[in-house]
Amino acid sequence: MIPPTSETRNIQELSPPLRALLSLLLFGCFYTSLNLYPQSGYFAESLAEFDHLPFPLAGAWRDRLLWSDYWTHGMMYALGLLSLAGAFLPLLHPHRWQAARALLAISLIWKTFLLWADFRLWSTNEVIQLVAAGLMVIDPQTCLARVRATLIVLLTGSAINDLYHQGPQFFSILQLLALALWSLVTRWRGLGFGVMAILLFYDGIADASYHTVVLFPMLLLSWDDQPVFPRPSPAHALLGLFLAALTVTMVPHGLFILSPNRVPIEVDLRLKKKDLHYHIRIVYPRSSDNNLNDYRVGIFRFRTAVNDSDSRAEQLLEPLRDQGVVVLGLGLFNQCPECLREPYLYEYYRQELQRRWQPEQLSVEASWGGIPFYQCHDGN
Amino acid sequence: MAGWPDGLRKALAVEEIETDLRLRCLLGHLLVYFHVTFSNWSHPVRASLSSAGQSTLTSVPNFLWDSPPTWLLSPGLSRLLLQGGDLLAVLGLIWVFFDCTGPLLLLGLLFAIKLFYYASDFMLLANYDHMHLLLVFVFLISRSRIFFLRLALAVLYILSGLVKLTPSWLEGEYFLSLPGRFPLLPQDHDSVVILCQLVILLEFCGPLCWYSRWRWMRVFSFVNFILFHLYSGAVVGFRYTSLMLPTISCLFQGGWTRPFGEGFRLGRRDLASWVTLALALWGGCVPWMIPGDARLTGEGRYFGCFMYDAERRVTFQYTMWKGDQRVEIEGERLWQRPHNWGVFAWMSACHVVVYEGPEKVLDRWVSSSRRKVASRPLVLDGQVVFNPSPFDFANARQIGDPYMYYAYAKSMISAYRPDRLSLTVYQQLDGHQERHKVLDIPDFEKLNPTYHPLSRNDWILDDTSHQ
Repeated sequence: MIPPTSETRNIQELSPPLRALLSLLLFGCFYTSLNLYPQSGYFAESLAEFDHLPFPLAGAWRDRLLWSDYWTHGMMYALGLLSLAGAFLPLLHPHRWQAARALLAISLIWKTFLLWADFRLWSTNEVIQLVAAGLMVIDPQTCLARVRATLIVLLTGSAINDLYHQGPQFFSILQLLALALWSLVTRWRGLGFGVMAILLFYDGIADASYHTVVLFPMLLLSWDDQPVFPRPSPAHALLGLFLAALTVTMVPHGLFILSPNRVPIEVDLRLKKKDLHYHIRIVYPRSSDNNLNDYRVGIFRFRTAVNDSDSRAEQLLEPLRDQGVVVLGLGLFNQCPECLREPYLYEYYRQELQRRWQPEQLSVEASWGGIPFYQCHDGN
Repeated sequence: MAGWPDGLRKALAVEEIETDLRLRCLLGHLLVYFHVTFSNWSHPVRASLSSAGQSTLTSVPNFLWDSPPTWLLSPGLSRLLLQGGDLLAVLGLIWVFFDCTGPLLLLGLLFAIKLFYYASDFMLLANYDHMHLLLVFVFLISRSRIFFLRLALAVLYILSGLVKLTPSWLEGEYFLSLPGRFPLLPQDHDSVVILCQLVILLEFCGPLCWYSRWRWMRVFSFVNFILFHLYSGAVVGFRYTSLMLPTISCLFQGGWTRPFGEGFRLGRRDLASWVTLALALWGGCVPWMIPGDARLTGEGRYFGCFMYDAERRVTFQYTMWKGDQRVEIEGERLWQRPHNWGVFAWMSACHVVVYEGPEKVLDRWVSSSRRKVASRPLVLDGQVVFNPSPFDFANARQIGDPYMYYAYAKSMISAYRPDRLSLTVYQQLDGHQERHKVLDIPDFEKLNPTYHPLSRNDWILDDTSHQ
């Protein structure tokens, strides 16, 4: 056996930052399994419960591949544990990082397959992890440089998302400035990086954002003494802005880092079929009697009244059914604000309800911060 | 980081970790498990973990005190601690690739934060967190870490076996009551009973095998524990398995060739570790020292490992009188719906009726099953009088514990100041039809019960002791 030379040893070994990133990404895969495990929507039984939102365009094709609850959870459990094992492999056996990389590839395929099952499962956290994991699988040795560039583009995209949806915001503008300094102004890259790290840390504390938990360490790992670009130019800036702007339309739910979690969302549903009248209101955030930082959804039903001025509302605690047909599955709307802001959610609900229940009248109105973003009135 | 003082490094015995990859890996694992914990506690940040818990009646203080220290924290500060700790835990996993001293200090900090909350809020108590805290504490204080962590693991398994010495496990009632019983395994009555007893045998005897000089015995034990954890995770979920599998896998490295205890020498510096493990063993025996069936009374069960019983059904009723107002609260918790792969969901419901004199002024449900929309508190005259969320979201360990209802009664009295409060709680175990009345207090303030965590409390009923 030929003993390894310094060159081959360098090829065989992975530097500590890269091993740490590999471990982090594998742990992220495990954590996705842990979070998704009690949820629904991504297995066949969810279809009957009206607790499923297929992916746009490719959703119909993917729905044919939905597995049963039993097999889906079984795979999630098995591959989740494999990811966890892989996360510690770079620590316990530094020279066997290729095995961890192989596990990451398997986890990446499985995770993409899983997320593709339901549009609601996507989030900023998952998008960033998928891209970074892909880069690590393809070429781990140059991964950090590419992860750095990817983070800059995605973080720029998130700032553009914030500006697009909410107009000029202090944190979004500060975020853009910090990223510009980090990537384009060699002398001030440390300052830009530091400001970006502080913003992310603040976001993790202030908004309890899931994505920060993986994104923040990833950002710290991507720091390097060398400039992001050897010779930054306006072309780099334009390309980065263009790619970042694409995220507004191409990334599910958009990217939100400094996410506006507190902007209220209200949805008004009015359904009628024969003698059945349903008037439902969905509010986010739900009035927080239990938790001061409780941003969960409230779903209320207004009892059928002689006149609409009777506004007694009761919290809806079970799905609405009519002769075995689920008219309103609570899980469909009990989602994060990014999902509730998707017009596609309401359009799907409207079409699917027409197919399942054939209501005589169906009215859906959704607003974000008081501004309507979806309106539909079917029937008389 | 090369800049840590030598004195500090020596005091923390960092070199032991730097020279042993198993310890470095365990350090990363114990750190990142704080993330699993804190993210569960902080998404969203529970009001019960700050001063808001008192006013919203979402908090059930730990039996150690009437006013837990978490009530001193503002919601913002509590959020900073929990979510900051969450972020730092994952950072710790990364940090371990570069340094050991810093992560070890971070481990101590996160241990303090977790223990602070854990010892304050009764609703947070969980077996895997008990185990995690013990492992972290042993890691922090020990000087022969591999030896004592292995011993701590053995103690945890023995404690897990101790708590199963009840008919629920010895007679297989736990799994016989579940639809599907043992998935993928024989379903007949005798097989289920034998499998339950084999688990107890594994937990008592398996750790002893690790110290045997016969290699086949050590490997046999290790393989069985791995299979047990892989299987149990499919039944009860990830959290326990994700703690134990990496721990046992790391600690067994080196056990293939040598017994666990080989080469260890007793020393005075290890006294703290021995005392800790002895106390842990003693804690597991406390329920046996207190008369009564701990499955019903819940007394002494939190000083060691504690099991929950499947198909436990709890019904409770609070009635409060204040002037001519009467508030009747009825609640029910069923154990679970038929489950797949450890995805548990329980049925819960709370119903409230309010009378003003003879007239019924309010009659509604305030909560229903978990995993749906959030429950809704009862507010009278601007004051939260009852909040169903602790009962909706209590896990299977706490929901049958009489202490929980006792502590909540005290909170309701403190908030609403009724003229009188009565409390009744019934339990059914393992799907049996037989109902056990565990609490029957017609006038709480008149009785003025006090909870003694280490001894028998007369006001907690146990009809099994008369059989």
